[in-house]
Amino acid sequence: MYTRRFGALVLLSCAALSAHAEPPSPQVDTRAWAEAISPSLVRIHFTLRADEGAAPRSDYSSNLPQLIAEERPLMIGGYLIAPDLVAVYDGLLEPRFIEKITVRQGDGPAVDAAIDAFGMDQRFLLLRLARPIDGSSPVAIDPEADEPAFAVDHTFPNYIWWTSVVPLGADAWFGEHGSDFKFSKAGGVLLDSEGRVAGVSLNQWLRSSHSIVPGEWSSLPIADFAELERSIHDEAAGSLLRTELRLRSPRSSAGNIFNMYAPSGAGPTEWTGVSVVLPSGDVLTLADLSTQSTARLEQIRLFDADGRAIEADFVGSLREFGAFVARPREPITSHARVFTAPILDLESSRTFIAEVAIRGEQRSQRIVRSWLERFEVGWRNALFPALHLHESYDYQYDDYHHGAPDGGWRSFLYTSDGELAAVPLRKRSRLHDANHELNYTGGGHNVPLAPIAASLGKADWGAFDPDNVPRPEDEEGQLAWFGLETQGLNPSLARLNKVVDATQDGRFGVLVSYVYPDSPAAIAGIAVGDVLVRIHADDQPRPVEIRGASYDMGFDLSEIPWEQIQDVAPEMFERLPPPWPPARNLLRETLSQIGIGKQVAVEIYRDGARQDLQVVIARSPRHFDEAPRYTNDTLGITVRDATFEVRRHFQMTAEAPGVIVSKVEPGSPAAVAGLKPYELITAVNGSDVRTADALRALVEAEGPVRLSLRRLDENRVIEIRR
Amino acid sequence: MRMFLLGAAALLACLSPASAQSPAADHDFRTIVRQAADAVFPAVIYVKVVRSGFERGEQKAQEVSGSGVIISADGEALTNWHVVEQAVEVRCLLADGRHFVADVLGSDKDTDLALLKLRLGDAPADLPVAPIGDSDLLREGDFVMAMGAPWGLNRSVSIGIISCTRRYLPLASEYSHWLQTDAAISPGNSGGPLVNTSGEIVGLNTRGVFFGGDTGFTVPSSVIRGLIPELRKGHIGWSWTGLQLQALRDFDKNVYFDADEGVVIAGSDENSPARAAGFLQRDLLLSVNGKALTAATEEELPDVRRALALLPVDSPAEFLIDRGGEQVAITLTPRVKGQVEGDSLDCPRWDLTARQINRFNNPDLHFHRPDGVFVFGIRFPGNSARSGLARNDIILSIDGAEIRTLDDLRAAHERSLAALPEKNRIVLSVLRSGLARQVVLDITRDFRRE
Repeated sequence: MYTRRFGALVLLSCAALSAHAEPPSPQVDTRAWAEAISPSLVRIHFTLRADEGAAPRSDYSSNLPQLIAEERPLMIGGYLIAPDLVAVYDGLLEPRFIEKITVRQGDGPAVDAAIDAFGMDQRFLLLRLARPIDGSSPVAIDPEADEPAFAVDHTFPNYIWWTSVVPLGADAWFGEHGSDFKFSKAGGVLLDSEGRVAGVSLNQWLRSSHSIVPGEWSSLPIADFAELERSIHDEAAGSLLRTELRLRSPRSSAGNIFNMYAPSGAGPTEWTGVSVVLPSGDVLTLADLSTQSTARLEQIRLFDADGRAIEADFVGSLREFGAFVARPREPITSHARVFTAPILDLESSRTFIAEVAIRGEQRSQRIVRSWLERFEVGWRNALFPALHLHESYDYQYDDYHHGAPDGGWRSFLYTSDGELAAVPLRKRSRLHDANHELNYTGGGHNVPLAPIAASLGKADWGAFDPDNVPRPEDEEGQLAWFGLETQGLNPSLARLNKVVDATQDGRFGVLVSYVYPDSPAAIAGIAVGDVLVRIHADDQPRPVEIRGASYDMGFDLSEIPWEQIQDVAPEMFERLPPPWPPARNLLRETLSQIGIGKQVAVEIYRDGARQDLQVVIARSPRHFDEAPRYTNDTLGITVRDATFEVRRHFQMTAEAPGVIVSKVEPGSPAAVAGLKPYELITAVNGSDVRTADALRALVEAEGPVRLSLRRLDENRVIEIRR
Repeated sequence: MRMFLLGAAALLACLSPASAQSPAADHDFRTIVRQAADAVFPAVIYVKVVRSGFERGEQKAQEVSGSGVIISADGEALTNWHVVEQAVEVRCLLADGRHFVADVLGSDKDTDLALLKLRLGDAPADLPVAPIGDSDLLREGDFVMAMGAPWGLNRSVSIGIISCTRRYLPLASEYSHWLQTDAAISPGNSGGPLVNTSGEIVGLNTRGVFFGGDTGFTVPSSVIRGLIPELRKGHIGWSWTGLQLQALRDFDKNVYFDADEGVVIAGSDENSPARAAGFLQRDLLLSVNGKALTAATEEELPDVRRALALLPVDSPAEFLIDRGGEQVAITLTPRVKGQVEGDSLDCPRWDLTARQINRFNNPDLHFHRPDGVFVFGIRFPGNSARSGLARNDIILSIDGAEIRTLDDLRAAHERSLAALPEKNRIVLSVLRSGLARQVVLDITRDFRRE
């Protein structure tokens, strides 16, 4: 890293000690060489400022805010390559943070300077001086010079200006992608082994493709550079569209006073962010929605560069990355031009980043220059460009109300040809198992767009997740199941059940407390008292540990005060937790993510002995939380089907009639008649009812409604006249 | 409405120009009150009880106090069930300063009545005795006095009127109505008499509300009088049919049935005589053994329930019902109701108390396990609290041995003590909200060590 130059104090004598250094020849007089170069060495002072509340950032230094606070400039060494032209390493300091640039030699008078051009093939800036500096002279390359052997560098570590003469060594690196370089401990004026000036390099990597003769460098004058940035700005504005998603409200869970049972990730009802218009005309919406959120997705609206709203239809969610594809209902004229070459081709090249922030209805964008030098390795050895000065990932669901902690800026990587190379995406983790020590949450990356765009809806990067789709309202909450009720382990239960090693002393694993008849677990032979520890699935990178649900961790809210239920004020009913476990728990969520229909091996322990039982993951029958329901506003009640766990709790046979009251409006005829939540309605006007729908038909008929009610063992009949 | 128990004695002083009881016009109000008070006041006793109760997970002796009234020269006295509940010692103080130890002859939770017998010894006692009057003659507005020991202040009298002669409290009117009075009734008045202007007991003060202090509830003497012989036998042998009854009209709940006579059968309890006899929901009960029964409103249900509960146990009774317009005769043999509250047991080393599940007292637990014991209280801090046991956990088994009764539990507790210190953990299988759980109870620590 270039910044290391400022941290390392390289003394002249070190050169002689370096193991890689060639043995100094008798002609080496490094002091004389340094002095000879000194008329070409200049000190550059960047006076910095804040902009729109943001602090400057750069590769030069990480303490730029401190410099502003302490009213001192950022000081960098540069090299005169013409009487009024200074070459300096490009630390990617954005012009908006530069108040003023001055250049001086030694302690001499300051000369104003301005950025004149940006390097395109190498990482440098050219500064144009207002006038030449007295006594200075530009670097003069000696035509007689041999291969560079030393670099003379002008740096300011520890607040003392140094001139260092550093041997280049013999390191040579040859990359399989065709790139090669020699490594130097410093950039600067290059000398041959005799001390003759061979050239200038501002990088520590001396690439064979890079000329060391300043006159041969490729640069873009600032006016042209600004034009290039403008064109990229327009590209981004036309193809990175503000997007609004609307989602149905998540259903409230009964009794979740402490939010303990609130389904994880079920929160958002609105999302704003970015969609990328692909060459196919479809868009890639960069929303990392979970299965249960996507299930509630109702509307996708794109806003083009003119602010026109365009509706789009959902096509498919990416399985591997946090995004989905949508199809606009009317064509969008502009689209992103996708960089299709291997992403590694962009190594060591001038790039641009479109920073886009969507905050409510405001879309903000700025283009900053960049230089791609590093990559991160990720999923299946994929390379993701590392944009270390830029935020790129975390989409917050509640950006709209609270604002993103990083200001909401997302980074899109563009080539200098204006092609979109990478977009900020979250790699989806395969399985949801929070708190696990093997946990891998995925994470944000700048993901190359080409492999996604090329395989959309097919395989690998572009593959769709068939479960992560919008669903009709009555299907939105359905999960997979085994058909079990369980109790979480703790150390004493783990020891009692002889699963100490298998569960790390009860840190995970669940004890089976009930098996529903005819469920996958029953068919597989899982029995009450078995300890379930792990699920082995073929396409999962590791087995998944099974954990108890959070409601199971000690205190218990699931007690209905039946004895005092007459005393419970109707407005408190909604806070009565249901007497059965909630639909959503870690096991069911995990099974849903492995996939309905898959056969997995469940590692169980029965009396301390391991068995692996084959279980087919099935779609859960509806739970109380997601049961079909019917609300009658005249009566003021909502009833739901008596689902499997309701039947278990109330010891109803599969054939027994009954629907369960889930809500009673205070002051309604039903409330006056004394109906309470969790009572069963077994019959209406003498006819048995088995479903909420059947109840609807019976109570919507003319005439009085006579309901037969059951509360545990106690029965009542009420008649409501309308 | 949440009621709080009180105890009180009441005297009655009432001078109503319209009152037939008014002895003579030349008696002024003060005289009448004084005469009535004099007739009963000496018979009012201050009852001091040591109770062995179960509180917060342990059995603890507590001192409580209440009131009572002597009703016979041989030392019988009335008080409330809740005064002498779980009593291990009962002492009575008379107004004249004499004091006696008393035995509980009988008590009944449903009516909150208890009958005491003072240990008089051999000496002639010459006890003051208060006569029992007829509460059915009372009318709203009649003056009454409450006598007893409010807040433990014995020999107190307060005065008021009858606010309501037939008060129905939905959760506390199984077999009887209440007299409601605004004579001040406070904690400690419990078991004391309510007295009319003729100097007769017309009720036993039982409940009041803490706020306001002007709403007291009294068991009417008409109910008490018939139950005294039953109480002498130890308890009232209520019979049980298992019928769930509902009134024909319910103004509060706005529910009305198309009938003027009878009682609606809402359902029947599991494993009850009514279930066996074939009663169906929505049957209309018309009469029992030829005696017509009607509960036009909810307030009339206590009388119907009392009539059924007083049917002879184990002898067939003829029920006439209307089923869909047709009259049907059904024979039902009531069984004895038995306890309405399970016994309790303290398991000190486990730091819990347990109770037998009772159909009437714990219907929700009974639903999940008709015979069994459940965790009634958890002492904190303590071993049970640390193990994750919770109140109302039904104990299914301990170390593999099934638990059905408190005797089973007592034996398990003793076994666990005997096995210490080698074995310091026991395994319970419990039922919580209908789901089985395992609990490991570590009893290494003795939380009650001084």
